[in-house]
Amino acid sequence: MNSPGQKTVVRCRGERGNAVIEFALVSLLYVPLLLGVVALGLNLGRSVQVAQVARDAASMYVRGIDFSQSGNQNILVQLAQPLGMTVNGGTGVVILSKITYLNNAICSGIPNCNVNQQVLVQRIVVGNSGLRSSNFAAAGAVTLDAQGNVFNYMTDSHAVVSGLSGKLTLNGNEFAYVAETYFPSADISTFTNGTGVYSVSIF
Amino acid sequence: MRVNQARHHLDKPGERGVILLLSSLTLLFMIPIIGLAIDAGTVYAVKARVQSAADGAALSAARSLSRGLDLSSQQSAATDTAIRWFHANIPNGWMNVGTVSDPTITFPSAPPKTTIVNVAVTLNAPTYFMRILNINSVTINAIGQATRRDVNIVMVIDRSGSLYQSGSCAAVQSAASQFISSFVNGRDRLGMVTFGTDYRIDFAPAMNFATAGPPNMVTMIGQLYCYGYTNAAAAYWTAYQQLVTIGDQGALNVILFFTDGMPNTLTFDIAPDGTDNRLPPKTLATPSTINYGGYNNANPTPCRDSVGKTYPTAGWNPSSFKGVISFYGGIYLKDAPSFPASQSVDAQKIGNAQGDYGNCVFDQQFNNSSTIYTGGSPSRAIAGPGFMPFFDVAYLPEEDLFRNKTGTGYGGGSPYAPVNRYPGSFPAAYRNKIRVDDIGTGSGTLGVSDTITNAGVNALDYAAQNARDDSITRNLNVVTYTIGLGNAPNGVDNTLLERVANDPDANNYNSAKPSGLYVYAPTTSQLNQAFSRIASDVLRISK
Repeated sequence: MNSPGQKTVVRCRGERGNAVIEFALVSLLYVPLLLGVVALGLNLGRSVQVAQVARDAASMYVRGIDFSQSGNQNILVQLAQPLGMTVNGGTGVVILSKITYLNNAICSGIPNCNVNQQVLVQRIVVGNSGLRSSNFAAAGAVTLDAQGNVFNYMTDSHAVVSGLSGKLTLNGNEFAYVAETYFPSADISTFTNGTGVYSVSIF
Repeated sequence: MRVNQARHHLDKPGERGVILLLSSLTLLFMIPIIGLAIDAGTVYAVKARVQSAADGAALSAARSLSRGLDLSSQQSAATDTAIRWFHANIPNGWMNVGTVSDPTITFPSAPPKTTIVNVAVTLNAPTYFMRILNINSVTINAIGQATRRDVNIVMVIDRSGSLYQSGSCAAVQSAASQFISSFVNGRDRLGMVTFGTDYRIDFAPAMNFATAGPPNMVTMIGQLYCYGYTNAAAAYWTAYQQLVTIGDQGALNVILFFTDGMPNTLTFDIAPDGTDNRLPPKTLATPSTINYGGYNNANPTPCRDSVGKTYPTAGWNPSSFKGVISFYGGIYLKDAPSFPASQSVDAQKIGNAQGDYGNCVFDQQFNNSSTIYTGGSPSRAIAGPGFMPFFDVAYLPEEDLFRNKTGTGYGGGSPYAPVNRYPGSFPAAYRNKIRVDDIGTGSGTLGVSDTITNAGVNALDYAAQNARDDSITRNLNVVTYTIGLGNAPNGVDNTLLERVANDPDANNYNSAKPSGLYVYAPTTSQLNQAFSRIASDVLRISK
């Protein structure tokens, strides 16, 4: 029993090294490829998820859901559940903005009106507000009430928004309901550059 | 043994390097498969974005149907809006999609009382690996559809004298005009009820609110003249009755109520169902612990006009008053001939002792404006001039003309605002009735917290809650929005206006009933903003 087995082992030992080298060579190609595919897949999946959260958030926001209420904020958190966002923190943020345009007719008779400007009317942030600021930031610090409404947006020069006009021209009395979502992509950090996934829906 | 044999078989000298070869062969299959996954992922991501853009375009188009006075200009405005919104969501070159072409906007036939906007999109998503197979792009189709419900809105607009005094009348006109421009002439119905001392349907709800007449809503708003007291409950209920008359169950029914003060005026008469809610005449001098310089102990006075000529005249029935009452403003005839809208000095309209109209003031003027009347315990001061109802009226009925309760809460129990009643020391006919000679818990500022004003507050509170419940049973589900302008000396009652709207912040908020919104505008510069916020909110829920 022993001798044939012995022979095999001896011959095999010399060639087993080849297999290891071959495997190592192949791995050099395969492992990054597979990890890359996994990372890309995760990111693509994540970007679809993030876009979906933005779309759902904008869709509810435009229909009048008050996201300053904690119950409605929890709906957003649940929509974004696999992404790990919480109402006031976690790994994600949803920024809701209502933006309008003030024309001459609207501004008539109002001193210091932000005439012919796009202005921020409402801003609600759900999630980890430190992760990212809005692309449609107001020109300065504005005062918000409990529902996120901007005080004196017609006259407060800080309420002017410059980020949207390049994307969307608004007429007087038109309102754009904007949902921005941002989630860092941290699953396989070596293969992703850590900028995260950002999506915006304008309803 | 089996293991060894297997190894033996694998490690034949002729098979050396086969792993490398196999791997290379495998790659030939793997790379296209991985590529397919990447391409599919890209297409999926683009598809999600396209769908989102189509939805956003359709909803924005539905919101913008108000621009233009006829169907074709409204549809072209909506098409323009949809295209702008679509491109805002998918810029050219996003994810290498190249130039994004305009979506196709159509307005398919819709069920009654609705408008449908259909946004059809075709976009080519680029491929990266499938190009090997000569598939350079994948065509993505998406359809976004939004339905806009027609809206019936009755605006209830305060035109009381405090707006004139604060210089706010023009701002109200401007804000109200902006508000109506958010709605669709030809589909939405808009109407307007205004109130000062009287209340009046200035424009019965109609779909051609911007093109009718004149007069139409725009011209009526332009003629608003601010004068008189604040007869809010009657105006609110009249507005609600307009929505009941339309009876539009499929549409969104809205009341927009604007005021800058306390509802200090009430209307009394025989109710439509025959209940006698007229003001009882004063028949004897009432003993009182509160003494306004002794005047409240005066004997009843006959009805007289401004030059002291006494009545009765023909048709005058001294057994009851059909009147509009205000603690400060006294009593006016309810059914006086109306002036044309252009002469909307409403105190005249409801019979301010103008002999030409044969009407009568039931009150006595309290004296001139320099006099301050003091008295009572604790001492309170009332600044003149004033028309004191207690010269002519015994007490307030428990219900106004529209059966809104003045001294009882909705559903029974205590009313929202306290009312004082005559104590047991008064003659039996007066006992436990609502006082008309009492300045209540206020500081003596006329029109604030006196019992008649509080009764007016209660009547408005009752009217709003009654209308809300009644509209649910009629399947009209009326939503009330309120705006308070805070620049009048006595301000507005924020809690009351939250209750009227069933605002989520109201102290009696009921989420099972249609929720409205109360917006407070501290000054006229925020008024436009307040109306605008409500217009955008109405348009959101009309979808």
